[in-house]
Amino acid sequence: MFTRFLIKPGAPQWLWVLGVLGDFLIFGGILFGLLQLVPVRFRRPLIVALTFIAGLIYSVEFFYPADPKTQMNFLTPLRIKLGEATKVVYAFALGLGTFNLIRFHGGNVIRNRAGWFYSLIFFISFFAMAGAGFWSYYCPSKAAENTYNMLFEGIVASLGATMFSTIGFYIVSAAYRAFRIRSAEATLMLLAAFIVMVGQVPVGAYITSGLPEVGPLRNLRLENLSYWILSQPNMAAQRGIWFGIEVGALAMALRQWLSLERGSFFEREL
Amino acid sequence: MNVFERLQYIDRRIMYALLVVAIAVPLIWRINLPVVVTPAVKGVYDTFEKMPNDKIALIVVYWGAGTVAETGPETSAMMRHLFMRNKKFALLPFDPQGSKLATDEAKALAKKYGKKYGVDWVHWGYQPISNLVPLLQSFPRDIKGTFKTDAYGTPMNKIPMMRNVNTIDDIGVIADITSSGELDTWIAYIYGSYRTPMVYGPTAIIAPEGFNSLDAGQIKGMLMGMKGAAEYEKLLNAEGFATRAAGALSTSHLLIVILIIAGNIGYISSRRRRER
Repeated sequence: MFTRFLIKPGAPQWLWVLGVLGDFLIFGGILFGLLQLVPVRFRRPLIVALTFIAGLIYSVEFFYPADPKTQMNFLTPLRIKLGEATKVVYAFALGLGTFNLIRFHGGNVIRNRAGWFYSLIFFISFFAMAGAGFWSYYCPSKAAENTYNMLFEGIVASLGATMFSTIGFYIVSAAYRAFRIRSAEATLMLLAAFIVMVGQVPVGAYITSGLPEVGPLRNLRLENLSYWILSQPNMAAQRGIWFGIEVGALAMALRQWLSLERGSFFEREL
Repeated sequence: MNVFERLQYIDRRIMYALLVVAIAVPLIWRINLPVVVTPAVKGVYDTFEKMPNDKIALIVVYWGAGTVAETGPETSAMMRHLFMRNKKFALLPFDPQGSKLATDEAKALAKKYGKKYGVDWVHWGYQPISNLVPLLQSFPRDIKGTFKTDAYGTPMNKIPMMRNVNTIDDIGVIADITSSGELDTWIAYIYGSYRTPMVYGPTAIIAPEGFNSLDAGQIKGMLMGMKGAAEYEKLLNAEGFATRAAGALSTSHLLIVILIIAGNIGYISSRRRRER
């Protein structure tokens, strides 16, 4: 708002950041003050009405026919602006998350709680990665790039890959314990799992490579059996599950839009 | 308890050690096994082949370092295919780690195939995933207005390959390479409205969900994790990491099957003893 009038295009980036923050504080403060002036009994209807209007904009925009030339209807510009506003709200979540992390881990370090050392490692990692990122972005140099790459590829990426790959060990252990021939259904599941597991990797193709590649017998090749299980019975089951999920999601969305959903927000007096 | 019965109580540390060996050995000493191309992978290949050269492909990167072993080769294989056929593409990452990893791979491949940034490929800049829906609602109608600049701050209209790219009509294929399940959002907002051909590159664990959309024709093809990438490399006749790692994938799967069989031998033996 004020930023657009007071700051000219081409002004330094930090001035824009300050301007936007100023806008947020001023208008956010005014809005908060106005909301405080609303009598308690009107607060709930106000929130219900605002929720309904917000949902209505998106619904009408989606269903109202668009102009064939522009592919837009009268509500599309508003929806685009709302999308941009949502981006700003999401950006604030980043600040809130950082604040919470610092508060939580800072408390651990200051009060010397159990595991304070890990909180200290958090601070070192956080500032090292953020510092290297800002350094390589604002003062690009070979040293900055190398530092950033060393931290990212040497630590962040490697740790991420290590964390995920440990799942493989649990899968081996879990599969060994879970797949037991306890009943007819469990046996059927075991057989399907066996075919898919082996058929999904090149060794499956190798095991049944003696079978012809054409003709009815090709269907018995492990890779073809595996693909059939995935693309037929699995797909049918997935479709059934998704129908259920989507119907549930639609019901939930309607309940939220119409403020029928009772959460902690409406259970206490506003 | 006899030897067979003991098979159902194998110490997990032994299983972990066996898995390490099963993965490490084929990576050190390569095992050549046949890679059979599935119709889903052929679908991805054909979709890129059919893409007109005056359109660009959009490669969506929603994966991080955790799944790089699977999604990295998928992304690499698709980018390699496009470079080999002189087709242009844009990277659209929704994961900050994936953004860097995919960009590094694109740079390495561009160097190998003699391609230039801004002419043959472009990076539209990292977008937070929480912004997916508003983004999918706005970019199809106005790409330059939505993204404004590329990842390096260059205005979109100053990037040579973006001059004639304005709407979703200028995108020939969308490849969603992901370790998450946001394909439905792309189908709802993009395929549902514009019928832009889509291909899918999930991790193997979420691939079974993709068959639903594959059967419905909403996606034209799918790579199922690293194995899918190995099949794609075979179609390209360009061996990469996925082909080399296919042996490790085979031995680890085989180990799981052997362990399951061993566990069941132990289980059946002890059940028979109890019945006697």
